[in-house]
Amino acid sequence: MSQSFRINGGLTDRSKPINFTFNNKKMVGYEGDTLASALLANGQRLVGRSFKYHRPRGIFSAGSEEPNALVQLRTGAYQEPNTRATVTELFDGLTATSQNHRGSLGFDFMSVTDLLSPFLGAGFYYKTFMWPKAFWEKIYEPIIRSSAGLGSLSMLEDPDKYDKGFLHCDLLIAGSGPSGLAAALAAGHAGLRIIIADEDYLLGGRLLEEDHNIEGISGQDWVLQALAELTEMSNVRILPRTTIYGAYDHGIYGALERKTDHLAHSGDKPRQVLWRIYSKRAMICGGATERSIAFPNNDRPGIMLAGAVRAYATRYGVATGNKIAIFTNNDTGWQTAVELVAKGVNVVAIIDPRDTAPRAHISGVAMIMGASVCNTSGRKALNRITLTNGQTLNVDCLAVSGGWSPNVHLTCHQRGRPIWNDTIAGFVPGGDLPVGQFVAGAANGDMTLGAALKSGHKTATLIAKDLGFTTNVSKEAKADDENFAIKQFWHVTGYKQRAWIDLQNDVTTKDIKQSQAEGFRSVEHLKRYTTLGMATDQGKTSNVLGLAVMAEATGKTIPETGTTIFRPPYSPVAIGAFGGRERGQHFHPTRLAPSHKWADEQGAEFVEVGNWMRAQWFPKSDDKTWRDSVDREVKKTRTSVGVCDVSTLGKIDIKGRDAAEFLNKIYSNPFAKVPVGRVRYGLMLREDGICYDDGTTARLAEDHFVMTTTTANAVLVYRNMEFARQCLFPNLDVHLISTTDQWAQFAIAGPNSRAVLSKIIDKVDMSNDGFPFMACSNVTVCGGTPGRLFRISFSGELAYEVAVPVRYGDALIREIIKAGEEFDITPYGTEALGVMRIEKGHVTGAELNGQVTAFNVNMNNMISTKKDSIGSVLSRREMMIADDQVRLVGVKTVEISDSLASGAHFVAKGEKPTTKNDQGWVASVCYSPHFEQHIGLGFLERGHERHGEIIRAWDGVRGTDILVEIVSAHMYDPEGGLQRG
Amino acid sequence: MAKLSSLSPLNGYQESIGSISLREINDYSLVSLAIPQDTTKTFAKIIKDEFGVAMPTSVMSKTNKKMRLLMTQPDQIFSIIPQVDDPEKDLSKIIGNAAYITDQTDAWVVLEISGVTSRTALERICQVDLDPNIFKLNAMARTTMEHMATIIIRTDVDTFLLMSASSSAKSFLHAVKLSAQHIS
Repeated sequence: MSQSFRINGGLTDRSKPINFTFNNKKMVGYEGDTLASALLANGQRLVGRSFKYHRPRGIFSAGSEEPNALVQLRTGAYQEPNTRATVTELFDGLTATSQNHRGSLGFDFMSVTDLLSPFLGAGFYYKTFMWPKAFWEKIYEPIIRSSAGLGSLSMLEDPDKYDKGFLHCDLLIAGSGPSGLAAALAAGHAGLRIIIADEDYLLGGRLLEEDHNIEGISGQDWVLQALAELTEMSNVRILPRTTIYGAYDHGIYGALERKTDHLAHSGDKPRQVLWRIYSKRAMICGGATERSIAFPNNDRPGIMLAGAVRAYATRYGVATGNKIAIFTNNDTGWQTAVELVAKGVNVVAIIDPRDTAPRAHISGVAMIMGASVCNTSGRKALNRITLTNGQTLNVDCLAVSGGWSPNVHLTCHQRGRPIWNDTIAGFVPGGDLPVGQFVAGAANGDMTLGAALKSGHKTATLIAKDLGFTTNVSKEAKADDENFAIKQFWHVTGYKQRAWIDLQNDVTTKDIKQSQAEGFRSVEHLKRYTTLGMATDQGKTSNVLGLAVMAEATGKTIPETGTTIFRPPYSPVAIGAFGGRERGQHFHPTRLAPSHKWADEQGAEFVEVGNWMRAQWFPKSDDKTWRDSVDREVKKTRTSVGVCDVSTLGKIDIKGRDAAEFLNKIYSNPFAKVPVGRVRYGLMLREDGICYDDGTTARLAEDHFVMTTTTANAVLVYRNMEFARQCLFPNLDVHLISTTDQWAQFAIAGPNSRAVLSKIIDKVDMSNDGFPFMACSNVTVCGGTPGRLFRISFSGELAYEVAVPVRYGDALIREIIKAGEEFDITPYGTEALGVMRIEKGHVTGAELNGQVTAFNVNMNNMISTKKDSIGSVLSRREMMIADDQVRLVGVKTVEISDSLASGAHFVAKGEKPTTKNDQGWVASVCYSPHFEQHIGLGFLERGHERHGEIIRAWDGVRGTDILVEIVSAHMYDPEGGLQRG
Repeated sequence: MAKLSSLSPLNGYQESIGSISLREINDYSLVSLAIPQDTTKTFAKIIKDEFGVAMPTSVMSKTNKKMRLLMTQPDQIFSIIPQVDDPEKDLSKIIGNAAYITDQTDAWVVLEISGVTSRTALERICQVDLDPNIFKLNAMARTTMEHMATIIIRTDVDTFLLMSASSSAKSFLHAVKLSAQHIS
């Protein structure tokens, strides 16, 4: 196809041709074209098939409101469906394909659904596909799924990069038409920091698409002049290709900037950037969107919005037909006719339902007043229209103007409601705007050029004054106001054929009336029942038309009918843009333990523990499975010595003369009299008496404690303690600081742990008397490096934890391994750590699950009755300490070969597994190399009285039901002789 | 046995990306000074007398050639000084009981970003308004960058220090570096 519909003029660069394909057909356009303008220039009328009925459809508009021309852009992993051809900048090599047809675009097998349209009206899926019931899953649903939707995904990962960012300004201006540019000039000259954004790649709004005169120069030249001025101002930031898609709290706006969508390749840069814009004030200058008129068969390719026909001629130099008729209820349709004729485009007639004299005299054009279009012909391309006065006209393009709807969306994103303006027959912003927001130009109902320029300038001037800036620096640009009279004329009635309201969702006037007749009276119900206003265009050209028809059907006025709620985004935003950089391994930050590099060298398997990467086990070449690794690590630690990086546990340094008293309030057990040089295990309760964390706290000096928390609760405990410090006990002199990342800390456990550490720790008596169980001290290691030593045991073995500043962590682990070589020291990971603590009966988050009390974990004696502490009073509520409460127990399988699963429930033999018969649950499980069988910890009603009992562990999820023996939770070394030795 | 060798969180990273220079700062000691109750005035006087630095505010750090003070809480400041072996011991010799001193040197990673486009890069991850007329020389803010808690300090015309937790140093560097790459 050649560009047979090109005319002179426009803003495209004819010296730069661009090659592209549509449905594999090669075409040529120019730089500055959109895909839509280039298709029209090439005479491509048919661009898609409608959603439900698969009717042939053509380009309808020239902007982001486009309902029909949705294409699939690009190929392979870059393929993107549902892209509006009207806002797609043409680039060399662009490939586009049409959507929603089986077979070719010209011969769509699914067009048979149009014949079934009597059965496919609004809400048909609530009334059909019901019988027979068995057909739903195997037949109806698969067919509906494969037919539904528009476009298709590549099913490959999106290879493009996306980014996010934050911008700040005094004034955000959304829209760069006449009111937006006037505002920017006024505010820019006054010195405000401005961001002016437009979704288009060229700024100027309708001044690019209509012929106007501003102070003696063309509108387009005025735009160039204004932009040149703004570009020179260092306080102005211009963002083309940027949609302000949402108005959020506190003057924050969401914006999507398309950085490389107009290029063949992103070149490794982010394709799009999602901005969060913090504005002191914002001006919505988003203009207005034209709407259609509903009349029979008003959806054929070649039927377009009149403003779009004008835009294609003026901005792109494209005639949308060889014989154009205009059907309009307002004066802008006449302006379109005047401009088209002036450009040499063949306009054969203007049809205007108003019973008045013609609104202009245009030579060579039939002016038919008091009539409407009542039918059209030409399935794949319009070829004839029929009028209510009986006339028929042979045309290949019908330009329709049913009025203009101010783009009020951003004014309503915080549940504001627009108000009806009869003069312009449209909704304008209501009174309850988001904080700091103003509206100007056509978005505010100032539909004419002179009024738009004035309102932009005036509003910006007021804002500048309000913000304390000088204001009388820039001159207001003036222009005449064109005619803007309109008759409220929504649809042509009295004809059988279908008249479309919402082209994108195939919603007709019949559907709206049917919806009302079936009892869907609210406009919100109308939307959901008919799908009017859904999908990519969100009803920009159809919503007002739809609710006007609904108002008529219900006998209400349009204001009484109201609008649906407006929600962000204003136009579609790729999910990738919301994700930004947060994908793959960078989905969240990763925290690495000080020995990570060393552990990686050893081939450790890592596991995510929150944001931390922890070594889970260290496989050796003989290990066939992970169990081999873990069993080996446990056995070697218990028989000789093992080392584990425990740096991830929370560490909080607590200093102050009242530090001890503070800890006495935080922990349920006493802390005030812990001697310097000793460690104590502590239990923390929530205010309601439930256990929420445990750990050891060491007293290094009179006024200095070091608390450890579980890894998972480090932040929570710190936050709660700060709250207690600042709000509950503000009279205490106590200060907290997190030192989790300050210290690398290693647990060394096993019978040979003392021997290994004796080679590491400088000048400390490591004998049992010299450094007994639960001792602590500041020390130096390896010839003078400052460190800390704690004799504590999570494993139940003779054990210590040694800490050094993190910068020495890598070096220390290597020294420990070297020192332990003669004892065949083994590094162990979180799995072995878990096995040993279960064997010993030490609780963790699996047991302290937010539901259990100290009583449940057999630590009731740790709640001191001699002092007050957080949670102690409520922990003594009657229900919480009743005799039949669950108690922590150990669990062993009766059959050695059986395995346990956590989450299994305890049920008596012979009872049904019901809630009534549920006696408790299994919390943690492992294979114990020591006991050579599966064991676990759990909670059982009156568990402390039932040691030795055989009961069932029933698991409905995994389908197991085994016998277990209830034992003491302290299965390994219950007397604690090993850790104290 | 010899003293242990040390490794900074980013092992002395340094790189130029376009017009942006990015490097790890690791020749410092960072110490928290928690002010005992009801002694703020005394503490402020000691700081002024001993170090010649005024008390910082929550939005402005205070500095002389040797020391920079940041306010992290109403009763806590961070002191950044030239690197010493035992900053707790050294500082307590000077200020005695005037503060509870805790070494924080290893808990943080510090990146310096500089260059005419440093703000453009930081726009991608920093919510704070870094306009030079708003975020003046020595200004500081506590914020988050890519979900990591960060302290940002302006130390020169187009130069900023970025401080974040050392355990996520690699993720932090990635976030800052990617921002520089995306705008270069």
